Amino acid sequence: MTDLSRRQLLQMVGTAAGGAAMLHTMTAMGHAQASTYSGPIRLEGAPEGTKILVLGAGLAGLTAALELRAAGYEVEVLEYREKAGGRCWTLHSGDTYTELGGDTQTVDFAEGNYLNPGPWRIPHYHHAILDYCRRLGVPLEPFIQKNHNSYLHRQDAFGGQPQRFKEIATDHRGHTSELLAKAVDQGKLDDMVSADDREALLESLKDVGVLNDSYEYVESLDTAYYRGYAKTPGGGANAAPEPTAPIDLSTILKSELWTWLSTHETLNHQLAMFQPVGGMDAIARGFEREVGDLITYEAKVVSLEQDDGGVTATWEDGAGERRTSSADYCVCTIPFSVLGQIEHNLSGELTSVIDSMFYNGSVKWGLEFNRRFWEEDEHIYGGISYTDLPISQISYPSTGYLQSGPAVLLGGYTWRGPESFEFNAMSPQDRIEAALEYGSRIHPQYRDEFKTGVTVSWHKVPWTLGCSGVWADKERDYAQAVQIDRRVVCAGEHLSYLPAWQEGAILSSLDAISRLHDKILNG
Amino acid sequence: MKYVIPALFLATAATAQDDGSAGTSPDRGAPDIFADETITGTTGAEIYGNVCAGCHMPDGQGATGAGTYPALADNPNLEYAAYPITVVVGGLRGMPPLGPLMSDEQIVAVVEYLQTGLNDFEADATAEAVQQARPEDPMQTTGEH
Repeated sequence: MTDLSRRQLLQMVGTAAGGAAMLHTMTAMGHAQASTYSGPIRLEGAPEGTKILVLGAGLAGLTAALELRAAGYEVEVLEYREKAGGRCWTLHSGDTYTELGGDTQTVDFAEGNYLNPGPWRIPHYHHAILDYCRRLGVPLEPFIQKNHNSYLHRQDAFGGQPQRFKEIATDHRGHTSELLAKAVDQGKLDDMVSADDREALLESLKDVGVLNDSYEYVESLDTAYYRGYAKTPGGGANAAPEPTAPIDLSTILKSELWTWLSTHETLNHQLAMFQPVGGMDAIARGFEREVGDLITYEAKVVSLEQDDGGVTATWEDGAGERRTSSADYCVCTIPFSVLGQIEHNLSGELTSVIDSMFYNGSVKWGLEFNRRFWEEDEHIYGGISYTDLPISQISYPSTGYLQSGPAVLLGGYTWRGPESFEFNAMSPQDRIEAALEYGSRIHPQYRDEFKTGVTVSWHKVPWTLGCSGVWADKERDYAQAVQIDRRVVCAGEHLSYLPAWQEGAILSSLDAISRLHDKILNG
Repeated sequence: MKYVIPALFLATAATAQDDGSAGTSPDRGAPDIFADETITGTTGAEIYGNVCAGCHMPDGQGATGAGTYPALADNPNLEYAAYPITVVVGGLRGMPPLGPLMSDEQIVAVVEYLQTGLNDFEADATAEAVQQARPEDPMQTTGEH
């Protein structure tokens, strides 16, 4: 450790301080976010007989339908799929899913098991979607984002052996605290730390880093209390615990396993997080109970035209018959990946934004195993293991702990990057085979215990052609894109600063319909 | 970064390719589809099979749901390389830009495959044309959701 240069030390300190600073900033942002959603909107006084056409029954469209009808509007919703929810979607046992290209998967999970191919977790600061869950009676349960006993894994670190999160996290924190404490103690940071702060800083580093009285992070029962024991404390005879030796700093740094330490600390991933009991689509079903009577399913919109008198959508029904729906105004939540291919007469400015937004690729797997070996053999109860393998991560179910019988884990979740494209080009069977091959390097039990699997690649999802919208130039285009375009306003996750989060879809919709309502009333 | 894939997986991966020339058959020393940190593949057919086929389908016929992935087979827009190069590098509508994930040589190879493998045009893609099509600052975001 002593051969670290001053620059390296400062970089390390900077990393630690930067993390804390970022956390503080993001928490501050969280308080700002809290005011973005300040409870249910109450739109009132819709002009008699005014009709609004809502295109798309994802969360943005469903929110619009619910609130606009409550305001007194006549509402009609057109939805391409056979059910509501859009990307708020769950594949349950017995479901079938046909991706573009025609491959059909039948979900052969045991009764009650499921995969959320899209959104799968709800941050505690996403106040709007939490409030809709409250209002719609959707039961939530904790989603375990951070698990100290899950794994961090890189192929070229520790001989490819996965390491426990708690060991890497505790040792990284301990070593960096030691370096910083020694530097402070030796007066090397006197130009940055006032005499007043010096003792408190040392005390805090000793406390947070689990350092001894010499400001050293060493093998001891104290550090084992955080990173784990060689022999855990027991009862009765021969029960005294024994400590483990920390991994040295250089090994921790070179392993790059620290790249995942801050993943759980972003505002969008801090605990508490939630998931709906039984699958994310419980939210869709909740909305459907309220506004299902307004929705026409299997309606493929092929054109959207507006003029001084109103808005008309032409659509094909399930039998391929062309039909039209007319209204005074329209809330269009069709993803821009699809809207860009629909004939429309939206303004040139909006059209150019629609045509310049591309959609992310993302791939997920639900793998069902005959038993919960991650719990029974490895004591991992929920949470996520991260890896540099193409599957990127494995997430363990946040429910049903200790039960016997088959259970489903998330066998991989890619987000953009070359892997998303390459998995997308594979058949579902090959995608599952790849996830089993990679996953078995972290959990050797995979092959013996595998029962069945299902996989969704978002570029192959027929109704979105991708996972979420990405702006060509958000700073330049955002204000334009959210404007009401004569009689049409667009909404969805793509028109928010929380892209790919359900909260973004709902906040976008609430803002869009509030402005539309104001325009209808006040011109 | 190299990933070692057992023969079993390679054998099943090979069945994903309709076109036997797509290059994943084990007896040709198949490249691992995840071998590179960017898009993997050298020949146009390999690259097409590893990436493009996911949306435009192995036979280039495209696919249609609520929206459409256009067919690339028998597509007159591919007669001159300038257009497909621009689209591959920069994306088009919902299609993401692939420029950041592919080398100039890979883009030339895959555009040649579009022109000569899926169509009967003469190949006219050049690395210079790819360079010209690349933006100065390719945008990348990597948030997790």
